[in-house]
Amino acid sequence: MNTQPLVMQIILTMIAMLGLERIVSRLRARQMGLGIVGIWFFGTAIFLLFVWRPELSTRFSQMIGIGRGVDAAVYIAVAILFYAMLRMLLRLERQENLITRLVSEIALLKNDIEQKK
Amino acid sequence: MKILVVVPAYNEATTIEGVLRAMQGVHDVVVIDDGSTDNTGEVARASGALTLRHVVNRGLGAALRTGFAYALSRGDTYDAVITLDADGQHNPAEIENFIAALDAGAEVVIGRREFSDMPRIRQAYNAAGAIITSALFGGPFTDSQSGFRAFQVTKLRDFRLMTSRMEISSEIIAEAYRVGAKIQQIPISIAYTEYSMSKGQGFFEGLRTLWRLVLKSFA
Repeated sequence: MNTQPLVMQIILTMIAMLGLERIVSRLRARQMGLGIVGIWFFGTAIFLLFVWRPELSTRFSQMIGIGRGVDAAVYIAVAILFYAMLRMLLRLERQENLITRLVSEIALLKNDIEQKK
Repeated sequence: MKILVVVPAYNEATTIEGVLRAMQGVHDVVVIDDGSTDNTGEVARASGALTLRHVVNRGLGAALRTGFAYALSRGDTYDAVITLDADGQHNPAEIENFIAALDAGAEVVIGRREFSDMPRIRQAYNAAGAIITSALFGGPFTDSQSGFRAFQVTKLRDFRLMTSRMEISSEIIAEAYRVGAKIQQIPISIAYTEYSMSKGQGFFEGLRTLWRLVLKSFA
């Protein structure tokens, strides 16, 4: 049995660590609650378990009736797509916030102008 | 203590006059007409309240943020800001209880509704809101969705509010904790009418609010 780590295992672990670093920094800045941080840590732990013990993913998939180990590439693709969608939604939220700030500024400016008349 | 009362309003032409009349000559009031399609703004102006109008509807959070921005733009004019709903469910006479709490040292005061007085469906929504707010932002908190609140202006300056819609209620709690405000909850009475029930959050709006809160936790 080959005990040398595969390059992909190392890369995926580094990606997971980068993600965790972001989460911890948000926790420190109080931008994220402990509950959400816990969910992210749990998800990352499961992810890393499958990365380093791929035979577990096969066993797990058989347990839930898929019958064969899910291709790692599919997992990665799903993770990337999920991340891209999250980024897109966050960008949309930021745009929404900008529109709100504009609407608010217009209301305040209109009031200032009316007061000066 | 100089108070500014902020009243966010969206299509509240039938109720806002009564709400404003109860505060006339007692406190400064600013109504934020959040792009109403009825004549809410005209009714509010006719009632003597300063009225700021959003050119398009942006939601409760946006209206509150405009009201806060107005208060802060007045420099040292106001010591505290109080918010209450325009649908008549809050009793303006209870503003004095909020002022008393601020005078006693509280920096953020949240009106706590008696859950037993609420219709069952509202009890469920509010219990869920309190649990979610506590889990996401800190707690514990028994009523995070109340619209009757008071803020010391010195603390309000530190708030960084980002949301535009119903999720502002949870965000206010989160910000109050983040800036280390002394938070107090005081009991308030609520007048549930068919009208005010029709204006409240439904199940799907609640889900949307939860989704936006989750998104905000990543932003």
